[in-house]
Amino acid sequence: MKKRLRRTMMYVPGNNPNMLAEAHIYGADSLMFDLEDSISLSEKDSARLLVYNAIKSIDYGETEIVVRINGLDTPFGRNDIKAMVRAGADVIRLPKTETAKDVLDVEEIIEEVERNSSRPIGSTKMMAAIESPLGVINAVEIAKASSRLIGIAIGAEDFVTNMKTKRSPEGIELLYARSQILIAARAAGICALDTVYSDVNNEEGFRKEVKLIKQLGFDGKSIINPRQIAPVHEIYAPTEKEIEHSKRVIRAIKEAEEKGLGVVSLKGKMVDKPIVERAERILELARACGMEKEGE
Amino acid sequence: MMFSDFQVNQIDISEKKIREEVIKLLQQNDLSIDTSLELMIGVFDAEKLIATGGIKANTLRCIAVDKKYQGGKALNMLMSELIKLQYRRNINDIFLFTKPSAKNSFEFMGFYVVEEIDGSVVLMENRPHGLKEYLTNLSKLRVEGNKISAIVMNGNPFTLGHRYLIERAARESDHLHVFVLSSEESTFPYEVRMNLINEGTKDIKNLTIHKGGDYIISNATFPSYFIKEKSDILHIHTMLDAKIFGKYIAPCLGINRRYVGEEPYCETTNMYNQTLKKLLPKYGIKVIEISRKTIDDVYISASNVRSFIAKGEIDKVKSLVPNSTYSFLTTEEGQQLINKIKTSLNKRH
Amino acid sequence: MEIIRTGMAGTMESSDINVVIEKQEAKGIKIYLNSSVEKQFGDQIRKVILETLEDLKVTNVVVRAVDRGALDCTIRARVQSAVMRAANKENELDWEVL
Repeated sequence: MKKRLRRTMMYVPGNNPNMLAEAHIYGADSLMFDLEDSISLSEKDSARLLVYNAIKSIDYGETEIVVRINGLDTPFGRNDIKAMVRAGADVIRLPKTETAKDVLDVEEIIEEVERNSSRPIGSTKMMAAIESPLGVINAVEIAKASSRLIGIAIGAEDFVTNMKTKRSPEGIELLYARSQILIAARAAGICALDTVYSDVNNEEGFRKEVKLIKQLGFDGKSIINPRQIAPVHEIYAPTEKEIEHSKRVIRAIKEAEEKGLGVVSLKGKMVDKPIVERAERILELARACGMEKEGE
Repeated sequence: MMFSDFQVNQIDISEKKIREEVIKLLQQNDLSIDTSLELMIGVFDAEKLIATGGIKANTLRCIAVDKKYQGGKALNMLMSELIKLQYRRNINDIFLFTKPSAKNSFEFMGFYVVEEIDGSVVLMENRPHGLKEYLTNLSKLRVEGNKISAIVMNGNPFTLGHRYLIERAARESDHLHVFVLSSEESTFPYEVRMNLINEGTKDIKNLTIHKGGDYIISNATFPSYFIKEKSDILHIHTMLDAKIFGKYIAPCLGINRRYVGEEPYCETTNMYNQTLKKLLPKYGIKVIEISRKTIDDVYISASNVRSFIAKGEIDKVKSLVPNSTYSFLTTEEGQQLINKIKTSLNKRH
Repeated sequence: MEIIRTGMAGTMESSDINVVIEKQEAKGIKIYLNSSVEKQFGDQIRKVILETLEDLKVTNVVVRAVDRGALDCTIRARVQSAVMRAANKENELDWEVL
């Protein structure tokens, strides 16, 4: 399967038909339809039905469809899973994940629904949001809990409250948690997604944070407004120099393969596996940013 | 947040700052504040209040949108929330009184005109044929005759004065319809008032007692926040009430006479009676004003009864009310009401 | 599906539809539609409402709808929500029948 880019995962409140119909035209890599915090208790039922029907009927093209469900400790979680697996959501996102068991409990229900519906078993992917100190401590176990997991994400708002602090522009209070989640994700070979930046009007602060999390190694960021898409994609875009270099790496690999050479070198330096992977990722990013055409 | 710019929140009108903002917004729309609202909500653009609206019983009130935000989504958000709140309270028949210039906006929001007084007021409801459905049901209680009469009363609580009026009207008519105001604006709850009227008139055969319902508009529930000249309120209320009664309710039951009790104490009710006398004949309804019954030269009125109760002079009540009302007051439920009347009176002092 | 009380779902915001479902004595389904796109899409909206009610086996109801240009999938969702609320079964939907 082609590796997906997840630079931007945009929240869409699940009870807003207008946004559900239009969200994908802004070009986020993934959309995250929310049934949890943005939906009041009295509207949980109608949001679930709205998202269910939207996923079934609207053509979202290549955009990945993630649904944030309510926890299994609420009266809504189980129904959310039943509906979203049947609707055909690509990914079910668990909120407030604290243990590997949280992941397994959801997986069990997903599998049960897949078995009772026309959906192939294993086709529903999962994602876990970690939003508490306990979740951060268990991040490694969580990340390895299921082969359905495509990534883990940090949710900072609850986390900083639990830590008896609040968010700062520099983000020093999140450094440990971000690092822990990244390491867990990388060890498990899945994506790591950063938390939201809620001051939509502060583009400078937003850019600063995106640069920071890119440098740390995150695959992308959860966003709450279409205006936040372009800055992330711009910051994640590779430079011309990086693209050129990556192309040369790939060309050298091909040449070496054609010649039947085991060891590949470029300008006298050995090209090993990490260099190839990095080159592939840069070219993938470049294509996503429209800087390169498919197949080049 | 999440790309919606506006927020809908409940407003605590007792807070001075927001209260001033609400009043300013209402004034901008030529409205004043209704002090009887049960709850109020606002639509906010960041911190700024851009639309507001309130709820009382089954009516929506004080709906206003900042001029700069009119024609946009602020009104849609506001109305959606108000209607949702009503349904959640299990109030499915929603009404609103407003000025005729606002009619189109509310029609766009799924409201339908019940009746209108040109230039003054329009009553709207959320059912396309609410009044028609009400009349269809009401017509099942039609009784044929030459003299078909009606009385509208509150009965707070039912006294010998009410009894006298009903007795007299029933005697002079082939059939009498009594409408009991059903809004909860009175000391005695509707259920109690209705029971006591039923109990106290059991012996009268040519009588049908109806729940007043949503189309008999009492002075207590008629809102006035959209009427600029406060001196016009009573007249506008009476015109609307008389029009709906005369044009729809009376013909549905074949009513051609309406009895009212003479009102020596309360100027508002007296004015209402005098205006009815002018308006109802247009619909072929004769208004008959009956002078009040007196006992030892004292007029009997429900407000007298309530004030004796409040003062703890329950023995004085006995001669003013039928046995059924008096014995209700001695029950546990009656005692609780008496206590409530006493405390509310003490609070006022 | 048995309709027990009045059920309402949806809003009057752009692209949404506000749907009220109520039991009626008379047989059949009566729809009152107030739509900003009545002329072009009135028939289609009515058709989607009727089909959705049919799928849920709902009969003898009045539907009052205020439409603000909702997509078919939104109309379906709001009718389903209103029906489930009217049946007092908000969280008991049988996903297999949808």
